[in-house]
Amino acid sequence: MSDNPAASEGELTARRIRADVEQVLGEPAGALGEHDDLLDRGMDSIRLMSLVESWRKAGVETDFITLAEEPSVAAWTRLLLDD
Amino acid sequence: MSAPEEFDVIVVGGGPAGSTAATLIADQGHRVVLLEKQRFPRYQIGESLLPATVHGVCRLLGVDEEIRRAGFTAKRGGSFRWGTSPDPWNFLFALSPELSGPTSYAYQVDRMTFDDILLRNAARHGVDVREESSALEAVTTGERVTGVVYTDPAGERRELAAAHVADASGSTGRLHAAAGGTRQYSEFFQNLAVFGYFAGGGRLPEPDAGNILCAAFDEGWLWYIPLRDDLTSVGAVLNRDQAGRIQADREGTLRESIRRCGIVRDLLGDAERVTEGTYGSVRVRRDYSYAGTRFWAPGITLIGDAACFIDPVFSTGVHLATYSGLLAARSINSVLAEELSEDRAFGEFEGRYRREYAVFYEFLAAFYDMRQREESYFWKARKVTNMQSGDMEAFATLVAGAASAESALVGADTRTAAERFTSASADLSHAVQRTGAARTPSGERMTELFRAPVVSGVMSEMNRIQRRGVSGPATAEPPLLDGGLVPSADGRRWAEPAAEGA
Ligand SMILES: Cc1cc2nc3c(=O)[nH]c(=O)nc-3n(C[C@H](O)[C@H](O)[C@H](O)COP(=O)(O)OP(=O)(O)OC[C@H]3O[C@@H](n4cnc5c(N)ncnc54)[C@H](O)[C@@H]3O)c2cc1C
Repeated sequence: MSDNPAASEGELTARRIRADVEQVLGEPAGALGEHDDLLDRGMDSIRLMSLVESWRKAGVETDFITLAEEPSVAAWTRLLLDD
Repeated sequence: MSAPEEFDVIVVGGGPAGSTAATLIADQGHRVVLLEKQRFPRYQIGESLLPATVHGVCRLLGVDEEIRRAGFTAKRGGSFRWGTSPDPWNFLFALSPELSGPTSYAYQVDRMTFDDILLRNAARHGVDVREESSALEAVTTGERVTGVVYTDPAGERRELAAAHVADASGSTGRLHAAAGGTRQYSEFFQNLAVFGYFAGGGRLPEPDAGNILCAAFDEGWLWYIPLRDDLTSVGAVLNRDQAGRIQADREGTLRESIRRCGIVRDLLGDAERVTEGTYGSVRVRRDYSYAGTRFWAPGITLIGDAACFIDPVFSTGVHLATYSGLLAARSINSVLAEELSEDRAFGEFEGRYRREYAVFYEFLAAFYDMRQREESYFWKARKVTNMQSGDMEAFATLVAGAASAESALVGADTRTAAERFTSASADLSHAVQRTGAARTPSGERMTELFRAPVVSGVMSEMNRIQRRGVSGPATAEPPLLDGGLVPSADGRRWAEPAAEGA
């Protein structure tokens, strides 16, 4: 019954960010452009909340609103991984 | 009296708190009896819900489909004529129109129907529901509550025994005393309410037609809840020194309040007050802002209004009731399964419940503090800078009762509660200003509001509950309290965080 989205574990890398996003959106690997607006690809509040929780668990400081303001794989990689 | 009937758990009260706890405990195969004084459906105030109840708890209860089919008015948030701006502004549940989601709305419910659905659902889940059965007193054995005496529909006194009693008997029940604490009443939220129902009444323009409207005027504020197309719930929240005036003339006080509040007066137009049936009377509630000093003792747990309530603004009562029902069920289930000690399980219950109460308390205090025309007594008395030291202390004790994660709220090394309230309030006022009026582009984007710490504080647990409701068992939920527990995979018990995901 669970379509629990962000089930992946381990350290956060650019590759994992992309994979997690593709997984919650049900997109095949490699289907998303770096700069695609994820809201147009079906990202909603619940999916985003799941990602935030799972990435926080991996040890990064982030929040829902920060990610919501720039919804693309490229921006999130920068926001989550750059110091 | 014959030998007591035995159960695993006795729940007293069939409102949202009691039905939630009873259902989630019966789901684990335990024998649960629920005593309800009245015969349902029965009237209750508290009609405006939040998404965490609708999409989180109701999903867990397996009743979300039935709620959806009941035809309640959907609300996408609250609209407020409140603070400095003459134009109403919105507090929407979605971050933005683009980033809404399956949980970005809630309902306005007539509580007769809503509470009845929840209670019947509890019975379907195996709860032995006994209506017209009024709990009289707790039975204690040594230091422990071990049962309840009640009168059955025929007026016979009967005794029940159980490992746990959950008191969900609302603000009027008396069982809470068995937990050994007292109720501390708030000086700050010294409000009372007088309310009735109108046939028809105008609506805010779409898409806000289903929203609750809260509108301030000099002597208080009014709620305006579109219950059905042909029914509007209208209530005035006034200072408690108005009690005499209300006692002399309830209807007149309500009408005069409406006359003093332009936006509500205009919306109501010449809609007639309902004068017959359940909705036909003008009702009054007072002394409803309190918190118990103890939320549990061996054998008894207090949930919903039996434990605490803050204030009608922002529709938090049913959320706190269903949330505490969920927390209590997790703790009771964990103890019955012999997975956790009572101290550990109910420590988590009390810590989370007090945290939720405290974040809403702070939020609502900031809400009242937002700049109004301050020459009036009502609004002057609700500046947080005028908060009585009794309230500050009560708040500090309340939060200190919670686990250490929240010690930052009151710790000696941090700002005092007074400074804390003042800055929360300034943050909120500025965030509302930056958000701007309803139906402007900035007014549709809740980014500014949600970023204010006092708002993100109240949203965090509610969001988790919604997410669990929608996504099912979640793996990534970290402990909320330092050294605390996490929900088990099925959401109905607690687990040590280390055991999760291992
Ligand atoms: C003026 C006002 C406006 C409000 N507006 C809102 C709002 O818009 N939104 C919101 O969410 N909340 C609102 N609330 C709060 C809301 O009404 C309560 O928080 C909510 O009803 C609490 O639910 P509960 O299950 O704890 O108690 P209740 O709903 O009160 O249920 C308690 C039940 O216990 C039963 N009972 C009592 N004594 C006994 C006994 N001895 N034996 C057996 N049964 C007993 C009662 O009959 C009742 O059915 C408002 C409150 C007030 C005062």
